[in-house]
Amino acid sequence: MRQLSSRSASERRQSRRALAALAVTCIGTYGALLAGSAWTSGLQDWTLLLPDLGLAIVAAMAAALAGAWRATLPLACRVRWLMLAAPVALLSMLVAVGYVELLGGRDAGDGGDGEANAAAVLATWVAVVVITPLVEEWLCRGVAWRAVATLANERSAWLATAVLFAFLHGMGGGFLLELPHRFVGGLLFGWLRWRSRSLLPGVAAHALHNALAVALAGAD
Amino acid sequence: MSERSEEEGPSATSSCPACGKAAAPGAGFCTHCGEPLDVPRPRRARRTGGDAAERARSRHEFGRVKSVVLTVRSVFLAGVVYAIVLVALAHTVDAKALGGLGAGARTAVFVLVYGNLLLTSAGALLVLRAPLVWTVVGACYWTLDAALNLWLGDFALPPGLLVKMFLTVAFWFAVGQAARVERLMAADPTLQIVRKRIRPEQRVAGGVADQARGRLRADRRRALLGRLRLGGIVVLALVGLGFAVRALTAPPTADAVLARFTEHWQQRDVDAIAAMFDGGAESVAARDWLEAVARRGWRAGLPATGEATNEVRDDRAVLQFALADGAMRAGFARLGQSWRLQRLELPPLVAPDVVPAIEQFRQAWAARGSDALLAMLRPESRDRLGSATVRLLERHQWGEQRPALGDFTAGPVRQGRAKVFMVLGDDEISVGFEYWHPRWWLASLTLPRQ
Repeated sequence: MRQLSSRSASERRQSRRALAALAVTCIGTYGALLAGSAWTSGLQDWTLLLPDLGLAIVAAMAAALAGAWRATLPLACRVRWLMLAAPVALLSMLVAVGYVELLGGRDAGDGGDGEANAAAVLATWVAVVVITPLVEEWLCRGVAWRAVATLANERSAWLATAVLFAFLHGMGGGFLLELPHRFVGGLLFGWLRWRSRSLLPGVAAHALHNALAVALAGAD
Repeated sequence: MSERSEEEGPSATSSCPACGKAAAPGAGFCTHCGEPLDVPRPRRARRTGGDAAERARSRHEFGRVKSVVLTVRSVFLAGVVYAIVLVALAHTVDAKALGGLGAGARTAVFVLVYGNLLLTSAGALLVLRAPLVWTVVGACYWTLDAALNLWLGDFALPPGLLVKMFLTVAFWFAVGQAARVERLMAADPTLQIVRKRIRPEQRVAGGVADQARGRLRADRRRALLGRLRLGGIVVLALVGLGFAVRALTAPPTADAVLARFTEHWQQRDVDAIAAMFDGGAESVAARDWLEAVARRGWRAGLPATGEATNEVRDDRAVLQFALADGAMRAGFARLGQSWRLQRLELPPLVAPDVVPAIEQFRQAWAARGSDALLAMLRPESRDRLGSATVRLLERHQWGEQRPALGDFTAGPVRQGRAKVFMVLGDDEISVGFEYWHPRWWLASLTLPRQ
């Protein structure tokens, strides 16, 4: 039988750090998003990167708290997992679109000034398709995953980080409305992380998902 | 030594190194001379003992940390009750307001309230099976809720938000405990928060499980009775406290203020009544009251009242008196913890005929100079109106002598005020009279343009 109650001091310390990292991930992210939304002037310029910058700072702090920087960024993976990212992204997108349609369809969009300039389009693609997946995956499937896996096991990490991922998107103003499809997305990206033992497939799937979303929004 | 002998100790007969006689198998000392024997202690016994102690310790820790999970379930259950209330409100009280929203917004609101109910119900049902995940759900939920409330409330900290922030912190602590519970359960499958049912084919009537169940039922009954007793005491105490708070903080009834007003009226205390107005004696309503009293000549004494009737409805009260020439109505309103006089309606002012005053004006108009005209102004307003009247007359070069007036037409008398038009050559002048007990006074004078 494993030693249960007589945990070593280092194990206790590790658990405490993991818990702190998990709490900082969630609470810090809300703080970063609040601050970011206050400074961001909309989907029009490079200030769109500010929330991502805040999230990256939170992720770095949480990773430092967890005390295992390298372990929060597992990047090595096989090519076949990267190839699997495409169908996973499509599935996630289908769920999201279906759910949004169920709620009454997408807004027609504010349209902005009607003629988006090249800089705004570039800012949107860089922020939403490149930076956001990197930062969010590191935060959820990197830092938070490592923390929950340390506290419990990988299965719990898969579920808990999907929950965390879903709730992190509630700051957009939708509160629980964002929860169902984001949770499914989190489960799918988390499944990639779990099976491939790498962040890259999840990042790729997330980026592809966001690219589809931006393309759909642009088409509207 | 063999595997068997390592686990169970020496099985072959050994001899005592002191006396050389055969020692009993497994004996720790010689039964003949008492010399201790060098017998290796059975390893399994030592390990089994260690495992038992370890198991006991883990069970003890499990008993401690599982209460955290049960508390989390209680919080989820409270959340379920709150969510049910929100759903009920959405279908009853807020239904009309929701009807005014667009279809999309209405759907979103219903998804939110039902989603809230679904989430908290699932948490209450499943937190015992997957403590970590559902505690993380709770922690995320309360963190998001608190953050959104903080944001939408411009970072103010009302008590409700403080409770949410407390719940957020408590849930994050519970996440650590829930993780520990899961690890303990994973390491020792006999540790379960949820008691597993015994399959019917494995059940033994009157067996250990039944006895344990009986003991559990008895314990639960005792605990329930204890809780009911405690709950009853708490409810009684709360009800008593509620009555006490209600009695201490109950707003005053209208009867006291109506009685006070009646008393002031009977004592002819005009100023005390003026002080009862909302805003005090300096308020516009109080000044109007004092003016009405003065014009009626009630300063010296308010008229006697007849039978009083009152009508109290919620935070409004009306007191009505019968006076000699009509009815008087006093309206009161409860403002916070006090009743204030809002309005006082007196019977119409009954003034004597205005014709003698008109004749007096005509004489003053015909007289030389303007002193006689100024003498018709009320002493209180003579300085202000007198100079204006003199300037007006001098502009027409009528300061010393004025053209003769012709016929006059008197308008109706309303609330002791009358307007009279007098012919002046091809034109006419307008003269306003005001009754202030005991006589009519000149109140205004409008001359032709030229």
